[in-house]
Amino acid sequence: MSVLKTYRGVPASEGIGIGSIRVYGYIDILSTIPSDCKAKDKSLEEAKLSRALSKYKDYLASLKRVLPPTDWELLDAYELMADALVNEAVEEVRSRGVCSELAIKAVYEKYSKMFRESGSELIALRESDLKSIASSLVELVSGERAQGATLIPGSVLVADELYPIDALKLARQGINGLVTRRGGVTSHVAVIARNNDIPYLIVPSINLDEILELEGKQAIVDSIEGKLIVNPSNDLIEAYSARLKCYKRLKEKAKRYAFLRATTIDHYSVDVLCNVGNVEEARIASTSGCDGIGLFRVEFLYMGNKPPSSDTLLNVFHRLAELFKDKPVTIRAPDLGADKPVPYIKLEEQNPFLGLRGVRLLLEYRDEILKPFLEAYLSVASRVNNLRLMLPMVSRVREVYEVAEIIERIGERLGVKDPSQRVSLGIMVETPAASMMLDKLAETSYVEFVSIGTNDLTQYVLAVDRTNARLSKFYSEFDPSVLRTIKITVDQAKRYGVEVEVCGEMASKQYAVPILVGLGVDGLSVNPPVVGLIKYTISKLEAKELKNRLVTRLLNLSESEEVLSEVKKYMSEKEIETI
Amino acid sequence: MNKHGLHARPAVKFVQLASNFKSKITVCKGGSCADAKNILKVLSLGVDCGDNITLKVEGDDEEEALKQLTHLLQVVLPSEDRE
Repeated sequence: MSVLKTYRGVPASEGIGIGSIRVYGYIDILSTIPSDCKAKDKSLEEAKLSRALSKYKDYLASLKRVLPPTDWELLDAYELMADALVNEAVEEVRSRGVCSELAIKAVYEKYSKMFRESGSELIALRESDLKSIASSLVELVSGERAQGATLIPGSVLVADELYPIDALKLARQGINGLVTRRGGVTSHVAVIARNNDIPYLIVPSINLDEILELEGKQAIVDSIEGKLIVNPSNDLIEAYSARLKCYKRLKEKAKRYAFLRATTIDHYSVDVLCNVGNVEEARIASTSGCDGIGLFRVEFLYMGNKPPSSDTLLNVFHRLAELFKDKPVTIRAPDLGADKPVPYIKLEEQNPFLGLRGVRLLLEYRDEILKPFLEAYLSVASRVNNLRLMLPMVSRVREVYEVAEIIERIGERLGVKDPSQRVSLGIMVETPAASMMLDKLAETSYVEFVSIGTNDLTQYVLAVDRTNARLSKFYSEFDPSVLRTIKITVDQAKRYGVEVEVCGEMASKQYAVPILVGLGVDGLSVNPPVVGLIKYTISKLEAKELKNRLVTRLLNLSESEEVLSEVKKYMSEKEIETI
Repeated sequence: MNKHGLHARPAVKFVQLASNFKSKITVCKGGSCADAKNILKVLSLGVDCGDNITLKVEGDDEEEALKQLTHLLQVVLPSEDRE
């Protein structure tokens, strides 16, 4: 019965959590209210409603302290809706003598129908907010009977999707870990999880029916490596408990390094930048101590039914430039196609990862996507001095020339002097071709910096589809073939005075730091929560020794496992604490 | 009406402002009317961009209420849309 099962997930708030599984919000609480629920004492029911409302308002007030001001209007909307809902529920209790839960449900159903029939799509969308409000109120009125109250502190909570208000409520009750299947509203949920130090993992492949049967069983949320382990053995739980202890101690230590410049013992400085996927994450990153943004993914702006308007792009670029002032913000041109398809570009490909994606797609759809993007970018970048532009998935030298020419033409039209010189242009090295041809790419004189995208580079060097779970044992950034490719890239870049950064997941891995620093990279772009940890690690290393001893040895190994165990040995010799 | 009609964001401002006044305020679209101080009712009207709406204000502070609400609908909300 108790079979160990591991799910892969995306860490949204880092950490390790161990506890028993609780499924949240899967059973629609509104549907559990009996339709003949009567009020025994009307004034008692009224009092329950008003207490629930004031508790609910307390939650909203606490949320206001957590969320950015841009979201306060939504919270105001929630407050007004809750007010109106409870007022009318009180009427229901008085006139029909129903219990408070049923009264809330009746009012919810009435307006939910009216919202849907309002003829306005935007208002119909508010129906789900109303449901969240009604469910929370019902939970608050029924107190001990509600599922929220059966929550045992210290559990690992699994849900399909969470509202910020639920996340806050759960954080208050003290959960050890959080897992959701979907991450729609999650940037807020992630913020709340991080603020409350709750490990939070998004696991798209999770089956809630399956999990429901496992309620009460043990689970480990490993939101460092991105794993949810259900039904772990006692040995595994013990091992993780020990890791959790070390992790907490190291995290405290790392905090002290986050706002310092990362410099090795022999005074070699490394930029520690952040990878972010939207403006809210950038805002969080700006307070994490990182030296700028090494990768801003704009794809979220392109996931709708059409590409973003120029206003939207201008607005985002402006806010980014402002947030970081004199620190660099690297904006990657949209990397669409492959695992990021968009509805308005139909690509029917046998093999999307080897298909029309990245800069190839941008040049193919230059009028629809590339030019409007560059226009917005240039008009902001020419007025500030901290934006950098990066091209994804470069595999041919001519791609750089073609983009540079488009930049030149747009720049002229916008009245920007020497646009291709003024634009700080970089490319991502994700294909073996870009690595092999780096000298030629550098000779174009357009390329000021390169950033190694290790996720794709690894899959292309090893010919392993990184989304294929059956191949995961073949996929490792620590494979000597990948390290050799990175070495070629760094060496060529150095020869031409081109800056080299690494922005793939590898850069966020503590064991990769000695290797990358030893290979001579100038910057690491990492996930915001690990900035302190990566800076701590760099500060304990000696660049010269890494280069002369460790890296030379690693490049002569045959297997990724050997590389990892060598690095681990080295770090423990140097008494560097690891997670 | 502003670009997005009276959906959540603008409706919040509208209801908050209306609630500041003592007067009874009703907002109507087509044949249906709603209490302007109740967000659920205002949202249920489904006011979209380009819709014509009518305000009815009755009470001690009716003049000031009408003035401020009209200003909100015609000047403040449309200007926020352009941002």
